[in-house]
Amino acid sequence: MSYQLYRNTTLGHTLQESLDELIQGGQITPQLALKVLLQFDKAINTALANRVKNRIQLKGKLNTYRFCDNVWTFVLNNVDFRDVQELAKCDKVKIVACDGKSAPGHE
Amino acid sequence: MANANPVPRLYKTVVEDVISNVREAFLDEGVDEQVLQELKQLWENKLTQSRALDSGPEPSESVMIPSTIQYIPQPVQNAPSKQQFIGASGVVTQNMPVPVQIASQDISQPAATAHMALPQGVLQQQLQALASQGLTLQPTGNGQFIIQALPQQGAHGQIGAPQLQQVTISQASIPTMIQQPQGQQQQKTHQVLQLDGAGDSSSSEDEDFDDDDDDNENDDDAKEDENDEQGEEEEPLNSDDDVSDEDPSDLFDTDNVVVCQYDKINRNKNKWKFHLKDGIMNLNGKDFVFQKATGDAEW
Repeated sequence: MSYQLYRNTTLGHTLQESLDELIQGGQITPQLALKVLLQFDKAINTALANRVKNRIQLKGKLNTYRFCDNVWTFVLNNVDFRDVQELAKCDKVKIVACDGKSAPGHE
Repeated sequence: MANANPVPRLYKTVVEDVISNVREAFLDEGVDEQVLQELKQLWENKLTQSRALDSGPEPSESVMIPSTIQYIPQPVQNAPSKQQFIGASGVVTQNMPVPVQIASQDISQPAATAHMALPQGVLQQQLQALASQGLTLQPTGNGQFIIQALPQQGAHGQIGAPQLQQVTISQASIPTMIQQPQGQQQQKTHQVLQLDGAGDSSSSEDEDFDDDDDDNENDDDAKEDENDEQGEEEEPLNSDDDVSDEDPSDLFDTDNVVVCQYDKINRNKNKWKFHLKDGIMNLNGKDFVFQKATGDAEW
């Protein structure tokens, strides 16, 4: 089992909405939808680990921090996200981070 | 190719992987392949609709036309297509950018009398403007004017039912159209202020009317001042009661989210350092990904 962390993303939400529509239409069962989501967790975790190569830097003001159940949640203000090519700025951003070392299935 | 946005490609890869890997599960449950394809279609459609992975400009499908003209779906056969329709709020754009509102009740005269009540120049201008568009003004019984198509253009002279729109006309420069039932109008018509009254005819009736206006204005202003002063005294008493920070529930609810894993989180006094990895970010509506991220923040 992989982290279900990535279900709260554009990719994850669109998948869940699509699955919900199919369930509403009676074309699939909720159990099958769950299997799809588990498969999604695996796929996204693998893709992120293997297919993504870029590094970014971020700077900002820490508004709040929370550490619970080994999950860090931060809220930052006036944040700069820097990639090599581009810069993105936000007034407020929430970071949710699970433990990278004890990830399920992590070597 | 190295500069291309990696996100769409990554997402497509994930979609493909998921679909192929669940095919077996679908078949096990006896679900048709078609449903699987439908899932894929739904998913991909939603992704493109979400615009989160677009690196280009926003699609032009839902371009709002920032027009102040609202089109009224009423068939007016003998009106040319270039006609200007008047919005429901009574705002006439283009030639007459003045909000129109008559606050009078008692215009029940025939058209001729009502027209004569207006200063000739202004009404004529409006009539001409409307006429160039194939419209004219027709007063109704309750003190409003209806813009109708000019009789000359159609088979029928009067257009009864398919009226374009009821328009209430009041320009600042038009004195209240009613000169006759003056006495009854005073309470209502003071809302239709003449800002440039000096240029109008100086009949005694007008002067009286203006004086009454001024009296009313002065009273209103005086009352407003009183209220403001009282408000200012009260505000300092209440303004410092709430010193709490933003509600926690509000604070944690934001659209810019980063979902990732942490390698190491360090803190020295109030200086925090983040070492993150494998993240998906949604910032200002757009999606980004990273293999590693380092961050600094002061608390």
